[in-house]
Amino acid sequence: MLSRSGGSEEKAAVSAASGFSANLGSCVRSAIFFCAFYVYLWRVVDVRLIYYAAGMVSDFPAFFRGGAFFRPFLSYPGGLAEYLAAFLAQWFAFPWGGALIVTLQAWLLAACTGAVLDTAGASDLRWVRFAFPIGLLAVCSHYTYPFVAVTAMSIAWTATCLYIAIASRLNERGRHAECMLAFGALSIGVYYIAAGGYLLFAVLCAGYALLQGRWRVGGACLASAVAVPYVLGVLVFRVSVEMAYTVGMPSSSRVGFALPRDRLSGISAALVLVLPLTLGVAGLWRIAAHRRRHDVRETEEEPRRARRRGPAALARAIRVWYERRGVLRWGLGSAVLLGATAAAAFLSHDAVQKATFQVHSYACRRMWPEVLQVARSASRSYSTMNAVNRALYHTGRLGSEMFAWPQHADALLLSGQDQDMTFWTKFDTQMDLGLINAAQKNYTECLEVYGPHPLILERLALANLVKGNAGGARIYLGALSKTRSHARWANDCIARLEADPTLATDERIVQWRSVCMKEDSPTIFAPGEGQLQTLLRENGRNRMAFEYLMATYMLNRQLDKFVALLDRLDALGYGAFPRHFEEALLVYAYATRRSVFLHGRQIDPQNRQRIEQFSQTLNRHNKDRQAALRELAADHGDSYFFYNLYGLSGVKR
Amino acid sequence: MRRRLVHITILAAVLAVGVLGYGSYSRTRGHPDSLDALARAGRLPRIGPDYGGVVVPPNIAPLNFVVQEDGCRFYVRISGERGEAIKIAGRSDKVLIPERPWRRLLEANAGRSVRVEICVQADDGTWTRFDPIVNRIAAEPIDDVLVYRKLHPGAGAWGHIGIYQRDLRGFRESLVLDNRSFGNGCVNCHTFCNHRPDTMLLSVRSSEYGSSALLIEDGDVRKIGTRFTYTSWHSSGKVAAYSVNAVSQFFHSSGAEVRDVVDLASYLAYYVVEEGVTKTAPDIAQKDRLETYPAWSPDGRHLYFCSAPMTWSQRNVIPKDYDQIKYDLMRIAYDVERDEWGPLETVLTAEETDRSILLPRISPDGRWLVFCMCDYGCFPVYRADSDLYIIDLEAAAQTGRYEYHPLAAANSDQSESWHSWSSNSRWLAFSSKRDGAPFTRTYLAYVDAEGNAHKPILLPQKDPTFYDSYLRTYSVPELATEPIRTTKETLARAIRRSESISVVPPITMATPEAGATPPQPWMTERE
Repeated sequence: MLSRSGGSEEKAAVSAASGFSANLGSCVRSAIFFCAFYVYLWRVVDVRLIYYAAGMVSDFPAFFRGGAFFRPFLSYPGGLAEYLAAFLAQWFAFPWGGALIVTLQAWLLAACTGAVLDTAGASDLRWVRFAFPIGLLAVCSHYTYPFVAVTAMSIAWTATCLYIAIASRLNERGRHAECMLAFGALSIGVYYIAAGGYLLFAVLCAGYALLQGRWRVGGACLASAVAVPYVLGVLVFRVSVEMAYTVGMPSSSRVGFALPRDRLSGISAALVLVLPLTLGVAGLWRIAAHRRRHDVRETEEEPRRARRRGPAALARAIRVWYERRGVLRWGLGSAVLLGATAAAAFLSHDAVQKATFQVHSYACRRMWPEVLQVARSASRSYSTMNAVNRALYHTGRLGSEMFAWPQHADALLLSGQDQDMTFWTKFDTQMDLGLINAAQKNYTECLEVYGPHPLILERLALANLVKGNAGGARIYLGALSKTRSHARWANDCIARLEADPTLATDERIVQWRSVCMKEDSPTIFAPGEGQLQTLLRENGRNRMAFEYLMATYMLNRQLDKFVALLDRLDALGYGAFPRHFEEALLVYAYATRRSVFLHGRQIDPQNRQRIEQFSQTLNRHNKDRQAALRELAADHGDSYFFYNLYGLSGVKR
Repeated sequence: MRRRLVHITILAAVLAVGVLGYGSYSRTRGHPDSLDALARAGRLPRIGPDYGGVVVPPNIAPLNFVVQEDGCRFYVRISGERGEAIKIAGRSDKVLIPERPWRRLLEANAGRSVRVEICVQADDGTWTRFDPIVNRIAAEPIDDVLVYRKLHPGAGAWGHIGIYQRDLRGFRESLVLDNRSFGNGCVNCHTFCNHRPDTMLLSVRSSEYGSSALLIEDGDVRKIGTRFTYTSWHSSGKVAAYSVNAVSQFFHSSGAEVRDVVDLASYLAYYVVEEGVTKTAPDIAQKDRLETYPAWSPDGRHLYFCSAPMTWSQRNVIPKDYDQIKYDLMRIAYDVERDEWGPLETVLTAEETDRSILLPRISPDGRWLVFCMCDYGCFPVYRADSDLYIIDLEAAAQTGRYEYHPLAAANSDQSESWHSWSSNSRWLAFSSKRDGAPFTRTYLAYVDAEGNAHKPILLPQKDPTFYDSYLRTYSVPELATEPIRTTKETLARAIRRSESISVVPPITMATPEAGATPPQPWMTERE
């Protein structure tokens, strides 16, 4: 199996003859693989969604230009790996950027793994290197990425290659002491840069030394894996023992305050172990092969040996034949790689999760048609419902289409979840409604929980601008001007602030200010309905507050309150009733047998017909709601009639 | 091999000389030939931070600044009556003053003035000379060390909070304690005995390790198993007075400041170090009043504190008239040797001032009492109307009247709070939001012999644009004469330790119980 351990003359000859073409083939395969890998991450997975998942991904590292941001990273081991990870993370803001970063890191890990295995005499296990891109692909498909851990691994892997290159040269010349010195120097450097990543470096160097048969060096490397973090981390940098050993490892939760999603932390941890385990397997294999050869030499039972030779000789012959067929080998190897990658991509692909992230991402960027386009495939979570309702409102369809989508009374404002940061988009809803203080409070807490993500800073800057707090806004804008994704916007805002400190000509700011709540009602958390009523009382033209209040009443089946608000339609410039308003009116009229003042509007005859049909269907099933469910859902699953009866919506086939 | 080493050494030396030489040349080249011949702007230059017309400690780090005037080349000359002038020229509008010449200039001119002359070259090559900025160098130094807490302005989730110390003579800042080393708990007010950090108290709250106070004495760290909120050391070091506050945070649906705080219950207690026990007295823990913010007089004979009447009956809900809660300033005599409390006196009432009197701090010479006043409430940091005021205690002792006046030059239209005296009673470090709420920054103000504050300076940073994008706030700046030498890991270990000095709180409050671990950080947290 291993080139050195099983190194027969035939194999050497085959290797020499086909070495160049094999290398070329391997390079071509790798090139094709990584190109396809990049395109898949970019176009299919769309890793940019990780960046736009503020509130869903808790450990996304923010990066800012300048010494003030950089200097703290110098003060503890592993800080530079975190800094580098944050630097790389900023490219995830661009469609092509994140995919490129993941591809480059996957390639680096794979290339270093190949090089380590080659020099360790385990070339036949080179295929293991593809575990990294495949593993990272699986991780990225779930829209998480262990930025610091992968960066620390990349540093450890690169340092291992460097050490092996130095060690092989020095050992050839018998300069073992200098080799250990080189290891010591690299140890200090790697530990300072990558902290926990150093453990991998030390273990890999130990594995390499043990495979070379240098037991003492291997032992020293293993001992250093324990000693160096303690000496440098605990005694010199005075960090806690936990920090000394774990910063930079996938298990470390230091990057974000909130624990990162641990959905695929198992894969991340497994990736860390791939190369050390491979070297371990190679070592065991070599020991086993050595013993086998030894046993064979010692035995004198020639007939048995001859018998044993039979199948072994056949296997060897097949192997030689196979190794001489370069094209076949390349093709088969490529097919296996393609199959494994396709399997990983297929198994890890989660269309619902992708759509959920897309909804969140589009909602963050106020891309309302796109939200509605992908929301059908997304999970039926409260945050998706919340985003859909915002999209419907901003496209003028909330009153006429909201029950064509899954709804829940608690999802409209998510007001019962004020302390739950996972419902991040609700803060944007609060901002649009005019609940600027509530939004500002929640954005500020997001800053604490998720770190200074540009999307959070952007919102905090806007909230302060709306409130006329130019001083505070400038600080958020100042920070944003040091990011790659928002620098232009921030600098533009600062320039506009210079020219007009009140931003009285900025339409978006003026619009927000016009709906801003004026009444101070000190409270911990006010109920959503009360807030909407206040907004509407203060500003009768706050159309969003009106529609959300009407939606609240419909969702809670408070139709008397709903009907009482109809007199505001004229002031808000409504022509005909939106469809769901008519449906709610009809339900109210049928249920209470009261006439409703329609403010000069007509009920659409089609809607009257629909409620008649609805009623007939229900009567046909003797008013048995469960019996009528399927039929009513098929015909009226997008109507308020159906929601009012069943509490379900968006179920029309 | 050796020859190669020699060559490399020579090359490195030549490069180093070149770099140093270029640096020195570039700092002074490109300046106008004669300042007198230049066109005058007829006004002061705009610089940021605003270090114009200030009183400067003679031992402060360079006041680096940005010239906020349009130009392509800048020339700055900083000179005093004595010593060598500092000349800086370059294309950058950032003026980074070299530390050693700056220190020499300040030392030579302590008690005198320095002039900062700024010339700016326009794109067409013409130079403009602005009126010189004149700053005074105080004769009295500020304490060398400033200890403060840095946190994100929300403070509702115990994100990243740390206590840091800064050597004011330079830009070196070091970490004293990081909340990430004890499970992202909260680390609170730090209090020194007589401005010396070898005796200090530090409060921590952690859902994992409980609420406790760390007592640090000569490097020995002990964990006291109860929570101190606001603490003040008696000058003897034998006793520390502290408040126990049932803090409740709430939010405003409109207005500039979102957050607000009310103490639903509070009282004062004191910790006797030798005995390891906490005690209280009836006059500092009245059932119908809210006592908070203890501050010992430097002679240790009086404990000053703030007190407000409890006008509502339900102790676990925010009162409707929360904006009518106003604190009086009180003091009570104390004999540390006999551990006896004297009569309670009213120093200044909210009725007289029509404002809430908070955070009394007395200068170490015992003459001045500086406090905050805001329209209502117990937490001046959240009140934009909070300003600093001063009382001359010596004059009050003679006249029997506590007359106060605002520290007008130190105040702004934003919140001023968290003030701390220097050990020589000449400097105040305080928090202000004048540069952009909700971010609190530290300012240093000189207080002269007449009790007048002078225009304060923003705590200088090496990069003069540092604060323009800095997203954490500085709170509770405390001046100290020496750095805290106890390491962060020793402090964190002490917090994580399960053993602590077991103390029984002298009073158990009604619901919610003060001193108990809060269920959620946002409910009780504040800057």
